[in-house]
Amino acid sequence: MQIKIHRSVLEKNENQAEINRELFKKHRTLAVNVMGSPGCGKTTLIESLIKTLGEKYRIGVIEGDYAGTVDAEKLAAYGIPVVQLDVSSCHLNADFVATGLRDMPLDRVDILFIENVGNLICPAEFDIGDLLKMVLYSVPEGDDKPLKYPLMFSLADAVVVTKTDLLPHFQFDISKVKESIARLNSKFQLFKFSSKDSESIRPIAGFLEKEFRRLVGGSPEL
Amino acid sequence: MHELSVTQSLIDLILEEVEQRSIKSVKKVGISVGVFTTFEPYAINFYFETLKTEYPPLTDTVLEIELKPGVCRCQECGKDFEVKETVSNLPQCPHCGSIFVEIKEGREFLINYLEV
Ligand SMILES: Nc1nc2c(ncn2[C@@H]2O[C@H](COP(=O)(O)OP(=O)(O)O)[C@@H](O)[C@H]2O)c(=O)[nH]1
Ligand SMILES: [Mg+2]
Ligand SMILES: [Zn+2]
Repeated sequence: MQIKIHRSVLEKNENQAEINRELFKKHRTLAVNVMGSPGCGKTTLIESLIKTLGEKYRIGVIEGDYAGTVDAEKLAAYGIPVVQLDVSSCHLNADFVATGLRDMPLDRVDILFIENVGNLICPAEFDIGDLLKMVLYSVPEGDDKPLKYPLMFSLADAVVVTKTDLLPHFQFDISKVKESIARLNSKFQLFKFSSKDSESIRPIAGFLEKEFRRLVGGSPEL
Repeated sequence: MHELSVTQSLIDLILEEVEQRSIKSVKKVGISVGVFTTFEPYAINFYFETLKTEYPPLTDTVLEIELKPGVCRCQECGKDFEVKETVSNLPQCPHCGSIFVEIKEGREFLINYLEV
C-alpha cells in the first residue's frame, strides 16, 4: 500500500526561521546573515561596520563561525552584545540562531550581524530567518566562484568582493564576477572592500542604512 | 557535506508518520530533491543506509530518490523553462538564448510517499 505524503524535509528549519524573522521584525532589528569562505574577511568587515555605523545604530553580533572565542572577544571589545555559538556543523540553522537570540537583547539592537560558518555551499540551504543576506568573497579566491557556487550567489542581497588591495597580485576581473552573479540574481548589489582603504566601507554602510529604513522602518531609537 | 544532518531530518519525519499511522515496517520511501539544491542523492542514500539500521521500522526500507527538474524564468524575455541537469551547468533560456535567469522552482527536498 502506498501512502501519499507531501512534506518538506526542511520544514522544521523553515518554521523556526519564520519565527526568528517575526522576532526580528517585531523588535525592528535588521538581521544580516554574513556568509563566505573561511578567511574571506567576514569578521574584518563586521568590525569595520561596527566602527562606521556604531555611533548611529546599536549593533549586536552572533558569532557562528569556528574561531574558538577569538573573533567574539575581539568584537565584544567594542562594548556591544556578542554571542558566540558553539556550532558543530557546516552551517548555521534556524535553531542555532534561536539559541543565540536568548542571550541577545534584541530590543536594544538595531543591526544584528550573524557571522555564518565559513562555507559557500551549506549555509545557502538553511534559512536562519535573516532579513538580509550578504555574501563576501575575497580576491585570492579567484573570479570564477559565482559560477561554482551559484545557489549561494543567487540568494545574495549584497555581494562584497573583499581584499581588493590584493587585486594587483591576482588575475581577477570584477566585471566578469558581476556578470556571472547577474546570471542568476536580478536584485543584488556589488561592493568592493579593502581593510586597507577606510573609505571603501562607506558605500556598504550606506547600503545597510538604506535597507534598515526599508526593512524595519524609520530611524534607530537611540 | 550537510547530507548527514538532512538525512537525519528525513528519518525523523518518516518516524513521525510511522508512529501517527501505527505502521510496523516501511518497504519504500519516495523522496524528491530539486536540481537547484546542493544535496547529493548519492550521499543521502549512503547516510540513509547507515542510519536506518538503528530504527526497527526502517531496517528493510529502500529509498527511492527522484531528481526533480527546476523551473527558471528568463530575466530578458520573461518566459519560464524547465532545467533537468544539476546546478553546476548554469541554465540558458531556450526561447531567446539569454543566460540571465531566475530560479523559480527546484530548491525543494520533499518526502512524497511511504510504501508499507
Ligand atoms: N590584505 C587584506 N587582508 C584582509 C582583508 N580583510 C581581511 N584580511 C585578512 O584576512 C584574514 C582573515 O580575515 P577574517 O576577517 O578573520 O576572515 P573570516 O574568517 O571570514 O572572519 C585576516 O588575516 C585578515 O587580516 C583585506 O581587505 N585585505
Ligand atoms: Mg571570522
Ligand atoms: Zn528568454
